Amino acid sequence: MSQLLRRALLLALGLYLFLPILASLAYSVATSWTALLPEGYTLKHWANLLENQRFWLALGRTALLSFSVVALSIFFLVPTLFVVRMYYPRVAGVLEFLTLWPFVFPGVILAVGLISLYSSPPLQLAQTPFLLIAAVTVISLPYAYRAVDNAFAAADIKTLAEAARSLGADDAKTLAWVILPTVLPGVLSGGVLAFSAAFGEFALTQLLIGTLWETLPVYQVQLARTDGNGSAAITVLSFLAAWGLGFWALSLRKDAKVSVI
Amino acid sequence: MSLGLRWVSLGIALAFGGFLLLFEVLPGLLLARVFWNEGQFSLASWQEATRPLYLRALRNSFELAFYSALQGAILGTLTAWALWSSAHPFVKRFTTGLSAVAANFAGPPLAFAFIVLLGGNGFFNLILKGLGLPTVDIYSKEGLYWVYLYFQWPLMTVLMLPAFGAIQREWLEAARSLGSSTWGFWWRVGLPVLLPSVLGSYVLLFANAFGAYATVYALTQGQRNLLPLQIGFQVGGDIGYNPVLASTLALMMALVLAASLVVYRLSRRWAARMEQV
Repeated sequence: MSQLLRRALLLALGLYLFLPILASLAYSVATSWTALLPEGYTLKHWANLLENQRFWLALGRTALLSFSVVALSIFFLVPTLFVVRMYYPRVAGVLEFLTLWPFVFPGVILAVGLISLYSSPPLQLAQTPFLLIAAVTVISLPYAYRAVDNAFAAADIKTLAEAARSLGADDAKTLAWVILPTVLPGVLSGGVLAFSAAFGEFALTQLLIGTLWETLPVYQVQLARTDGNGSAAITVLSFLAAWGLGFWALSLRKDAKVSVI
Repeated sequence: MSLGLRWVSLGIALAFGGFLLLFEVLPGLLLARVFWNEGQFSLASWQEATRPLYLRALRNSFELAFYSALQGAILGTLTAWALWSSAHPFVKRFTTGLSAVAANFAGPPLAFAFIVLLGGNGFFNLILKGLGLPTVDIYSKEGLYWVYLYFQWPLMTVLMLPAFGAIQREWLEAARSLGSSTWGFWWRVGLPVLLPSVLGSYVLLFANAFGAYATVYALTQGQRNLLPLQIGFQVGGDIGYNPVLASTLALMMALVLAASLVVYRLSRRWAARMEQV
């Protein structure tokens, strides 16, 4: 009886997670679909989408946004966590607090705050991609922070750096040959998670810049009004990106523990 | 360690602090400006934000988050139990990974995937129709629960796994051999160990649904009286541009989320104590 319930639960979860995506995949290659199964199959919708310049521009902007967010996150997080763990462990609590901040001020709220702060001089950044990149970096911070911090925690940086120094390594050597290689998998995992969060970001994008700088999710919402099949193709692409990146990030970690906050 | 690496890192860390101040902390804190009007404390915007229309939005959002988290919590806890008690390591690893990834999949792609499945001519609705059963209206209030369950269920599963991990399977066998029933074991041992984690995870799911904007926007084009959508409408809409009202509503929302965070932190502390015992 409990064996049956167990199997039923796992099967139900699997179906629930896969069915919407499989249906979108089928819809993106269906000629028309009014009965139980599509009447016929075609690659027409995919061809239309891939020939559309607007799609490529949107994808390009999404890629630019995601890479910028990853670069900015790693640029800030790695030296900050290094210096905090090495010299100022008491500041760790403040950092932790700042990574909890987006929990209370999620995308919609952050967008409102940013708009009212940066719509007028001295920093008139509203409706520029720069503000969007900064905002998405803030929102994806918890993901990146957690992964990079775990890497530093597991490595015991302090002992490693002291050992390297006592063996005669200078700063550059310590960094390049001891610290970076040790934390690299964690940093990479954090980067992949930040990339994935930025890739699917919609609330901030729509409210801060909208169609002025159309990313893939914003384009999908526009496209869905006229072309459901094309929109289904974007669903499939987004799904592949999110799941591919997600599993990649998981595989970079030794432990299977997943933390959300 | 010579000084170079330390000071360069410290410089970047301070720049990071400035960055967070400008783009994270200040935008949040300065929302409270709505209480000042020409240098004087004023409740005018708060009165505007507590009009019946917006109170209903708050209530709708609360209800959506409450029930969607409840559904996710029940199914996710049961699924975590299934993973805990099932022996197959591959099934366990695969389902855990799958859940961790799916818990973060939301927004327009998810909304449109469910429209394909449960829209007017959706595949699943066609099956229901063929069987003579009532169909699901994805655009209705109940429809939203189906979509949110997509990330709530796996999220709860992932969050509850460590809590189940604190219960050794040998305990169950030991309790049984001492004459306790399986139910008795879960009631007297399992429940006290799991309860703090269930509460903490439930609060996370609640906040997750309460602050969600992208999925419901894509699903309804913003045509729903929910707090996040009302806020977005006041800053992004063509007609209703009112940043002060948006800030006040945002503040209202942040208060609910801050309360959730406090409950979450308390439950984590409680859970840590339970797992020590």
